[in-house]
Amino acid sequence: MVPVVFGAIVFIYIAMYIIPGDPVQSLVGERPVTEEFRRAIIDRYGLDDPLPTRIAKYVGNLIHFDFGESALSRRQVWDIIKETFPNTARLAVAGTFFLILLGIGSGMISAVRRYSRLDTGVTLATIVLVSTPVFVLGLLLQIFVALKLKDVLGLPITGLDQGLKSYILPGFTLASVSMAYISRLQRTTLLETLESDYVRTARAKGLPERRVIFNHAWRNALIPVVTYLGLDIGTVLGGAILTETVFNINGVGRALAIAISTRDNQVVLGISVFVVVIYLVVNLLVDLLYAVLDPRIRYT
Amino acid sequence: MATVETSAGVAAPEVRSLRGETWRRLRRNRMAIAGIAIIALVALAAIFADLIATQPTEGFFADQARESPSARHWFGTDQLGLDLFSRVVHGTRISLMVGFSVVASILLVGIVVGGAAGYFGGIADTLLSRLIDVFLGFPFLVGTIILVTALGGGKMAVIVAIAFFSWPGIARLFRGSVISIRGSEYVEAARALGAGHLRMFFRHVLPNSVTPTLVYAFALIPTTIIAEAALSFLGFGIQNPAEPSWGLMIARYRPLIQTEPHLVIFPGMALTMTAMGFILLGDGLRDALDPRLR
Repeated sequence: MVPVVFGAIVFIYIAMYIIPGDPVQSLVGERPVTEEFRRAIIDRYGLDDPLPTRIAKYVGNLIHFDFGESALSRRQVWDIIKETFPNTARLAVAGTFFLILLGIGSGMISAVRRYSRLDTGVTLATIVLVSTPVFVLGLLLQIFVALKLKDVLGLPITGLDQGLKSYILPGFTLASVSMAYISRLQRTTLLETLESDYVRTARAKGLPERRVIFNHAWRNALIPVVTYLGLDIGTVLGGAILTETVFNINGVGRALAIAISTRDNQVVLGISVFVVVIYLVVNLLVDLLYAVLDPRIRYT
Repeated sequence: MATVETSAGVAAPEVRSLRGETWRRLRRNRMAIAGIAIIALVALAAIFADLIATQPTEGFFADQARESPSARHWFGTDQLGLDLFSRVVHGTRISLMVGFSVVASILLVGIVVGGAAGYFGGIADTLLSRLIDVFLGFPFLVGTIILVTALGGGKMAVIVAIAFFSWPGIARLFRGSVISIRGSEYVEAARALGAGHLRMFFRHVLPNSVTPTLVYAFALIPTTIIAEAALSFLGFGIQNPAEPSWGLMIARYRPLIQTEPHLVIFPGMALTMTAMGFILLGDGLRDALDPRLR
C-alpha cells in the first residue's frame, strides 16, 4: 500500500514538474508579476527546492495529515475533500444499490432461466451498457428521461439536492459499466455452480429449488463477483469524475477535474493521494470479505 | 503437420490448425459477425471520409446555424453552422487512429517488457512486477488526465497518456504466459539443442504464449476509443475545436441539450456503435479461442 501511494505522489510531482510554463504566472493569470511577489510565492511554496526535497517535504506534512492549501482559493485541501467526499460517497452508495439490484439480480435470472428470452434480453442489454460510455449514457438519460419524461417522472436534470430521486439517474449512470460486467460474471459463475455435485446432492435430497439456488449455489457463485467488485473500484472512481461532471455534482471527482484544469497542484496532489488511499482500503476490505464468504480462506 | 495414421475402416480425424478452428468458431458467432460488420462500416467511413462527408468540418456559416436534421444536413448543423454528419464521419479517423496507435504501441512495449521479465526472471522480474502493481493501483482516468495535461493536450498527448497507463496490464498478462511456457519440455529440448536466447524467445516461446495477450489487446481498442472521448469531453484531451473528436463535440454541444439534443445524440451514438463493434468482435475472439468461457 505504501509503495503505491508513494509512487502516486512521485508520478504527480514529476507530471506537474514537466508542465510547460511559469507556475507563478499561471497562478495570477495574465497580469504582470512584480519581482518581490514572485520571490514570495517561490518561497511560500518552495518552488526553488529540488524535486526530491519537495517530495520529502510533502510526504512529511502528509504524515501530520497536512494536505497543503489550494493556491487559488487558499482553502485547506483537507477541507475541500471533507466538503466534496460525502457527495461522492452518497453517489457511490446509490451506484452500489443499482449494481447489486440490477447487476447481480439480472445475472442470477439469466443463469436460472438460461437460454430463455429473458436471458437473451439481459445479454443484449449488457452489450449495450458496456458499449455506451459513462458520459454518453448520462447525457442520454438527461435527454430521454429527465427532459422528455419531465412531467411523468419529475427527475431533476442535475444536482443532488432534490432528495432520493435525484440519485436515480447519476447512480444508474455511475453503476452502468460495472453493472453489465457483474451481470455477465454472475451468470457464468452461477451456471458453473449449478452444475456442481453439491447442488445435485441438494436437489436429490429434496430441497426446494429456491433454497438450492440461494443457500447452496449462489453463495459460492458470489465469490468471483466480490473479487471483481474490489478490482473495479478504480473504474468507479473514473466514472465518478464523468458522472459528477455530467450531473453537476459537487464531488471529489469533479473537484479533481477542476483542480487539474486550473493547475491547482496542491489540490490535485491531495485529492489524488486521498483517492488512491480509498482505492487501496476498499481492496483490503474486499480481501477481508472473502473470509466471510469462503470459510476455507483464513487469515492468520 | 504429421500424417494421421489410420487402421482400415476407421475414418481419419480431420486435422485442423488452431487458426482454422478459431475462424470456424468465430464465423458461427452471430454477435462477432455483427461486430465485424460495424467495424467494416466505421473503417470505410474513415477511409472515404472525404468522399462521403463533403461539407466543411471547420469554419463559420451563420446563415445555417443550429438547423434540425434535413435532407441536406442529415444530422443537422451546430452553433457554427457546420454540418454535423460531416463532422461525425470525420470523427471516425480520430477514434480509429487513437485506438490503433495506442494498442500497437502498448503491445510492443508490453511484449518486450513482460517477455523479458518472464523469460529471464530474477531480480528484474521482481522489480518489474512491483512497478506494474504501482501502475495498476492508480485509477486509470485520474492518471491519464494528469499526464495528458502535463503533456500539453492534443492527439499525441492523448495517445501517450493512455498508452502509459495501459501497457502494464499487457506486460503482466504476457509475463504470466511466458512463465507458464518457459519450463515446458520442448523449450528445454530447444535449449539442449543449443538455441540462443533470441531464437528461443521468438521461435519457441512467443508463438505459443502470445495469443491471450493479443485477444486482451484487441479488447483494449474500444476502451481506448472511449477513454479518448472521455478525456476530450472533460476538456483535457483534444482541445482544438476544429478537430472533430466525438468527445469534444459532445462537450461543445452539451449546452444546447434542451433545444437541440440531436447534436449530442448523433456523436454519442457514433461513439457507442464503434465501441460496440470492437467489443462484439473482441468477445467473439475470446470465446472462439477459449470456448469454455461461454
